[in-house]
Amino acid sequence: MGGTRSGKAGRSVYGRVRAAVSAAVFLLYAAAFALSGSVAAALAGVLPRLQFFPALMRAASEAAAGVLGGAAAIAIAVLVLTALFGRVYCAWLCPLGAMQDGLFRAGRAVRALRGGRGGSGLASARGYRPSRAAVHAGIFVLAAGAALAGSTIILGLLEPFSAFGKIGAGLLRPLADLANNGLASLSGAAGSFAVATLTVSWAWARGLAGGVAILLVGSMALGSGRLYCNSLCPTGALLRAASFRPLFGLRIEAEDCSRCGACERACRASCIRPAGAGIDQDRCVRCLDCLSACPSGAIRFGLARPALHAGKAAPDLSRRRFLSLGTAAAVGVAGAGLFGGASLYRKPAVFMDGQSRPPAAPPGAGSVDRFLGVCTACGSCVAVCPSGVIRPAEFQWGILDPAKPYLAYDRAYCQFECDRCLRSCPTGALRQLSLEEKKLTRLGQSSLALDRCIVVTNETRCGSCAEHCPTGAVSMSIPAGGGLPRPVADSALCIGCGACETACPVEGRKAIHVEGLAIQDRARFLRVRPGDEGKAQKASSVEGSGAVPAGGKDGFPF
Amino acid sequence: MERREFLARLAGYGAAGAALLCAPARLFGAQRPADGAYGRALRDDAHAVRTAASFPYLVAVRGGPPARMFAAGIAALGGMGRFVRRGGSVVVKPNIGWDVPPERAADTNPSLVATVVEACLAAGAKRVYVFDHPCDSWQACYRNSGIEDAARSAGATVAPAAAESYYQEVAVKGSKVLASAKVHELILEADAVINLPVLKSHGGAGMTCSLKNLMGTVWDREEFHFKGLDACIADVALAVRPTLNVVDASRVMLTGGPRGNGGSRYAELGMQILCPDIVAADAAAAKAFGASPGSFEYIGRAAALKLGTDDLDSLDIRRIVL
Repeated sequence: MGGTRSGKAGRSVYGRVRAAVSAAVFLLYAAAFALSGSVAAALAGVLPRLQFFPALMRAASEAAAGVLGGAAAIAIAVLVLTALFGRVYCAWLCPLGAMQDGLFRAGRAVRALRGGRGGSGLASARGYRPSRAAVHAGIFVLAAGAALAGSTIILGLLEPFSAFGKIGAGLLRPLADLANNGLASLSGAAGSFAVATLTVSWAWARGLAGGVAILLVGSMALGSGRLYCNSLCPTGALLRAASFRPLFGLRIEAEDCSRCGACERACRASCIRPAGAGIDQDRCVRCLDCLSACPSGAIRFGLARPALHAGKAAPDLSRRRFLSLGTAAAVGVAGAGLFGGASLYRKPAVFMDGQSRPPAAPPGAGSVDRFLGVCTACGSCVAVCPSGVIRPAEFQWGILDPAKPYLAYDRAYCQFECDRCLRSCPTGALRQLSLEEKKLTRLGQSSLALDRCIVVTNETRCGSCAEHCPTGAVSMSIPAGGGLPRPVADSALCIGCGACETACPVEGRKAIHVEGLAIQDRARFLRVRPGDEGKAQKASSVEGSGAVPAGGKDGFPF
Repeated sequence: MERREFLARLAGYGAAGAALLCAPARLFGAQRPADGAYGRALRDDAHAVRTAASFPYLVAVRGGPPARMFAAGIAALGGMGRFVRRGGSVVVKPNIGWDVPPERAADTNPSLVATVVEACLAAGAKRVYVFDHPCDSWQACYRNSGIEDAARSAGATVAPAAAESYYQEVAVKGSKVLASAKVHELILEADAVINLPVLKSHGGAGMTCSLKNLMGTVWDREEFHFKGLDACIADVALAVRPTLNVVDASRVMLTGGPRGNGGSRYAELGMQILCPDIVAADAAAAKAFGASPGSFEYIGRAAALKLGTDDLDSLDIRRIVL
């Protein structure tokens, strides 16, 4: 396979295909996170689960439960692909990689406008950068080790799908909502309701989570291309190890090479050695830009030959290298131990205002401890939640678990007939309950403060809590001494969806609120007792009998 | 450039500019200026029509599917043309408050919604809008209630109502508690409003029907609870005056409403009540529910506001059994 070229400044055919695939991946994932509605929900139910690291984590959870499913197949497929062709995943299939390429191009365009370094064509990266494999390996050991020890905080910060998701849910989604509302306003001005105005999916915590991710990734990508992928990314580190000696690779044919340095400058991974001395296969993300940049067609993609590893015939196992790898690994293990140890003393909710209460985790979490140990805060559930009740935490889960989802009942509640969050969860942090199971899963427990209820304080009829309750856990009942119906709660029926709390009209602290459960157990299901269907009601509250009185006319009660 | 061409272009740019200037305000849900005077004037005409003595005051039908009961009921009431002006715009306002399937009868029967929409169009309405301001997530309510599909295939425009920008503040003249309310712009602009509630139990108000259904035309629902639910339900009917109320009492949720739960009990009443007087419609519905109109404070309050009568014995009621 040669470097098919389409002109001096253009991309090779392979480069174009690569760019098209990568752009399509980005657009699909961006749509899943940024759009609302059923198409986006369908995408979000599938796409996150296809990504490598989340699939690896899901496979681990599934293996722990004795299941070997599609997650393991996805992870193994990507590893095999990498062993054969190198890090194809990174430049073709990773949405964060695509986002970095976009930012890199933007940075290059700005630099070109300013008349800075190498504005023309593809040539504008920094040139060859030393491998620093030990640092990357150390960071991987830290991230993965901490996760194994019980804390996913480093993974949550560095894992690429998690970073992409936080940007998608926190920044792309609100922007898309604003754009949608712009369209809605134009269509409204034309008298059409084809586009509906949406409530903008904004919360400060969402913006903060997305902002941290884009700052971290963007600051590296703008000037340095794929530096993040080759220094911080845990997926990158794993695939780097898998692609140390790929079966197929990119090579520079010495006899055709004019040593012009175009490929070196074009390389967004900074992995081409000066003067055509070779390509570091483990850092190459297979973007194929060098194919396009080479004016003499000296770069080929094909079966590896010894020459592929030119200038590096055998792995460097000098004492110096061994020591640096060892040190990095030791530092990683020590850090992982520290985070893991700290996670043993995980305190849900830092009670800063003195009024906060244990937060509720999304349905399918099982136990909060297990959930926090697996969740990488990717924001898939946040983006797909139709009511917006799922929000990334600031410190609701404590300082070790920022940006992980909890249910914020102040403005919205968990929709009874919905299971989108757990369908979209890619890591296995939320288990795949059936919708019927989900409806009976207790996320929290409501508790009443009648001294704040407006039926008592304002002596007015209300019942907003009971109206919204989907299970019958809250109902209205006339107290023994008579008067207006007041809410009563049956905790065995409560699933902690928060509908009562959201609906309660009391300002400030509500008269009914939900406290999250550390272990999500099962609620009792309210049923009509057989034979009771047509019976008249207990006289606790005004309720219908539906019975036609004896004096009715033609079967009408009036 | 010719002068005429210049002027035409100028007008075009002006219109585009105005649209763009209006756009940012709505991005964050700001209001549009009110222009509901036209619709209100027509509804005053309708008020004269609905008090005409030549037709029964209230029609009640039972013993058939919703579509057939409506056909019989509206014929007895003088036909849809009495309530819908040719070329006018109509809002059909069902209850779409909850994300539940139709058999739960927490939302208005979708086939009844479709039938009423068709009747409005057949009577010459230019456009028919269907919407509600639901409690659960609105897209899910619209979809899973079956109403979105039914109304759309009957020819209605299913309009969104879950953003504040669709609502305009109006003064509620003569109210006891609710001095003003943000009402959906389509209600303010419509020539006719057909109120299409489902009769069912209600944890807060006891029973929900025609009067309570109007809460779904208003933006701030919490305010109703805070200021006094019964008083606000009565007051809002001063601002939103349906030309006709059609009560869906086919399958009636007797307990656990308005959302309903696994323990909810039902009565298969197979009934429909049609009446231009919203108070009389709810008084009759209360009896169908198995209670007296006096059990529900808001009915008495609405009668006291002279929105209609709750004295059923004095009325000309046509009872039809299919």
